[in-house]
Amino acid sequence: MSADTLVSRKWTGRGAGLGWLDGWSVFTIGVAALVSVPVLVVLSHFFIPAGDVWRHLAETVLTGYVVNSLWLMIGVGTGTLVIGVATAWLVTMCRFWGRPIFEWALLLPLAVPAYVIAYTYTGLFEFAGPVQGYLRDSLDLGKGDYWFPEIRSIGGAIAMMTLVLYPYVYLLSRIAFLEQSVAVLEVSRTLGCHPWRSFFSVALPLARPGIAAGVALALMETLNDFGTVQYFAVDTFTTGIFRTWFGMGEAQAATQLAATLMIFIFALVLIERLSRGRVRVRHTTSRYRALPRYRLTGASSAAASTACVLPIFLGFALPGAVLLDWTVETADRMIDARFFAYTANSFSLAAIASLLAVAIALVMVYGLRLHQQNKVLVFAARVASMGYAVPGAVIAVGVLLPFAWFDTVLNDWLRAGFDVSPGLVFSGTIFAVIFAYLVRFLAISLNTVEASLDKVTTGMDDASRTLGRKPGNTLLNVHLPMIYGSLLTAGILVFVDVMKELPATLFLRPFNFDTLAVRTYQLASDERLADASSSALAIVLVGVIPVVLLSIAIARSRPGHGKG
Amino acid sequence: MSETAVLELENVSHAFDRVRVIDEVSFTVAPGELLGLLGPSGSGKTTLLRLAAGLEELQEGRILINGQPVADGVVQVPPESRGVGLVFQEGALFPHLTVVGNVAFGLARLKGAEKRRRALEVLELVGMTAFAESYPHVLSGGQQQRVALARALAPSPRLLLLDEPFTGLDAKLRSQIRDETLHILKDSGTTTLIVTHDPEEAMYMVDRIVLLNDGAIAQSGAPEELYCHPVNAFVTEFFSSINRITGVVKGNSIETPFGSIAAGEMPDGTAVDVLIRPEAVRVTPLGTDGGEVDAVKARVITARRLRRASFIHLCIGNFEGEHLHFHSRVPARYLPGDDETVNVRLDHSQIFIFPADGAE
Repeated sequence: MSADTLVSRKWTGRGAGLGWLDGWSVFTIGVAALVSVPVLVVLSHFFIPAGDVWRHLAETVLTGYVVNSLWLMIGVGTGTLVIGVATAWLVTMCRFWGRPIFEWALLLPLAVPAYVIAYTYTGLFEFAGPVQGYLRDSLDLGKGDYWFPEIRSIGGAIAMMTLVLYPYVYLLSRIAFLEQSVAVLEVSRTLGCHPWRSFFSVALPLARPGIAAGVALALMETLNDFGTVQYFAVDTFTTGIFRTWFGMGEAQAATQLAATLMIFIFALVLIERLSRGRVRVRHTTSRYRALPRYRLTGASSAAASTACVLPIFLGFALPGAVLLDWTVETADRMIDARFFAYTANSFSLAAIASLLAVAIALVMVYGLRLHQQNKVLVFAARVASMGYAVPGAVIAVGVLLPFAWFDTVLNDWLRAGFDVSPGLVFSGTIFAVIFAYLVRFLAISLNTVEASLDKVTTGMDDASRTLGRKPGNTLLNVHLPMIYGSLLTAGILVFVDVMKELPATLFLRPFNFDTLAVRTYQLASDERLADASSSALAIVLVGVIPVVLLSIAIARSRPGHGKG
Repeated sequence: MSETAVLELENVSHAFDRVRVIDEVSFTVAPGELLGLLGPSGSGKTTLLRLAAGLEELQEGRILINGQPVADGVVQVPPESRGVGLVFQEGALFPHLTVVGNVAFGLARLKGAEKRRRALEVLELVGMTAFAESYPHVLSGGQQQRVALARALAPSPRLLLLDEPFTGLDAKLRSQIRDETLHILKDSGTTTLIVTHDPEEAMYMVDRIVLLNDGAIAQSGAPEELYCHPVNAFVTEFFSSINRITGVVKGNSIETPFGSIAAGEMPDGTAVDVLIRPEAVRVTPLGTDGGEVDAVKARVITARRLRRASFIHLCIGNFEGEHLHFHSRVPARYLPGDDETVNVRLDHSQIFIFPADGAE
């Protein structure tokens, strides 16, 4: 029975016929086609002859963008690697003071967008900020009498991004360490390896695919960043795209910049995909048993605790506290009707996008299941989920171009035929913003829904069908009630990412339609850092929700390891 | 057969990834009949069942239910419109519905009170009324399987399909549920196709067996026909472990350590396999049983008492001075000691001779 079922599930073709084309599969292919439009539009600019503007850009600023992007990637890559792997190793393999708390608290910085932490630290450490002010007062120094690191620099940007992006590496390398066979580590000990040597010669190489995938994700976020580099005046592709499009009005050159950025992205996606493939293979060999943790005492315990406290403090507690302080300070001025209007905008965008993302993902994943993983549909789903790697700025450009073209055509046609001019229908409306969110975040809901639907045995489908229910009816009455919780999780994950999203929102939002993220960005750009704090704090607070969900999920993920 | 068959498969073939797993299979299930689809794992029996249910799309051939084509390359009636019930090995109860909710799931056409009445009626049939409001996870494996049967029977399907329905249960429970199921199906006159890999289960449950080997029908017929008149070595071996002697036909017979055995119609010089069921190897103590006519002597290697029979490992010398290892199954009253010498004779009605493998 099981062998036969396995074969039939893998079976994909139905000969040369197109019998598999029904509502479900057409929907899946349609979504994939729509979602791929922005990326295809951007990539097509590789084949458009370079204009004068592009030649000018290439001669002047392009090298700077590439060099800055590479430095950022090297810096953030190294930083997240060291912090993420070290903390993951400590909390999974050692016992020391505070370990159970650190295990989940190390994820907290994930709730803070890079641009928010950048504004906060600038407020703290710039010349006029409290830290330098205190130093000058207490040491009786004047301007120019002392050296202080410049926060608004490429080094500062690397530090900011490292502090909020290391949890990606932490999360994936922790899972890799957890799923390593205990036996392998024990064997290496009996073969005479010192704990340190068994870490470097056994555990680390085994965990390498997970670590690589984590670093690749962190680097995708690095390239996606717009707010931090814009504020720190570190010119990269995202700021270049923004300036070329809005500052110079050169849509084509901006799109060519976006296309160039995609080369970096493809390299990262390749690394991530390859690493993840290997992670999956290895999982089957792991034996689940409570890990024998090295008990740390005295100085080593204190050192381990410090190593875990620092990233949590610097990445979450300190900026959180500062934001809270500023929010209280500016509350009478800033928490007003407009603040609630921005919040309502953010929430409604996030709610619409997450509902759509989950609904679309559910139909697509169920369609795949109905068609027994038909190769065309699997490819379509893969295409639909590639947006997670594409920077928001690139998606924005890819959405603006076709939508604007469509609006022009529509207006011309309506004016000619009916003498009406509807104005902007697609571009510059909520429609464009939501579409961009779906392109970027559909992968999150697809992955979550797919993982939970995979846990429902196909026997359920077969039973429901032979009891007279059609596929749609089966989805509503059998699958939906069973995976309800996971759909909620998927919705929350998308919701929070939409709340944090800055570049696509900034590029695409309708005139005078501001969200919390946009408001934060604008106030910070006007050097009103304290005033920006209430919006920033709201984003961070909402961002904590998925971190809590994630902590619960990973605590449960390992039998015999439940209480963490 | 004058009545229209409930299920009819005509020349059905099927491939997964271009590997042919079903090869031109045809059979019918008559009204009220219990048909067993029997075969080793990988023989394609579950695929045939899924094709009949419409869970797998037909590639070649034709499938009819009550004389109406439900799949023939043009028509492909979806499973929900075929009126078949299906019970799985693992039950596949909906975990989010109560027992009565599960049973009522297929009764979409009935209204509230009527639906519940019918669901409870079927639960009564399988003796699960007391658990109507429970959720599946609190039920034992046997109870879950009873509910699964009730759920499949509730809409009064034209045809019930059972896919290894007792495999997940432990041995004792299995025979009990198997017995209950047989009576429920016979009492209700439900036409049933049951897939199993267990010959004993098939012989216990069904009126007729279709035995599959490598996606093709090896033999079909009443259980005792397959057991007593197997058409080839595969069928013979499928129903019990056997003793195999190779030989060559000479003068219409084959020389074996037990003496010569009639070879029937086979021409001289044919290489053959002689298959002897352990039950056909009769073992008696020396000096009993009216002399030593027809008997050969054998040494007992060891003997074990099973539940209903004794299983004896024997050593018999052949003419080349080699020693053959033989198995005998005798009623459990008799258990010879190790190294004892015994008389052995064969029951010629349970000896099967086929051309040797590769010579077919």
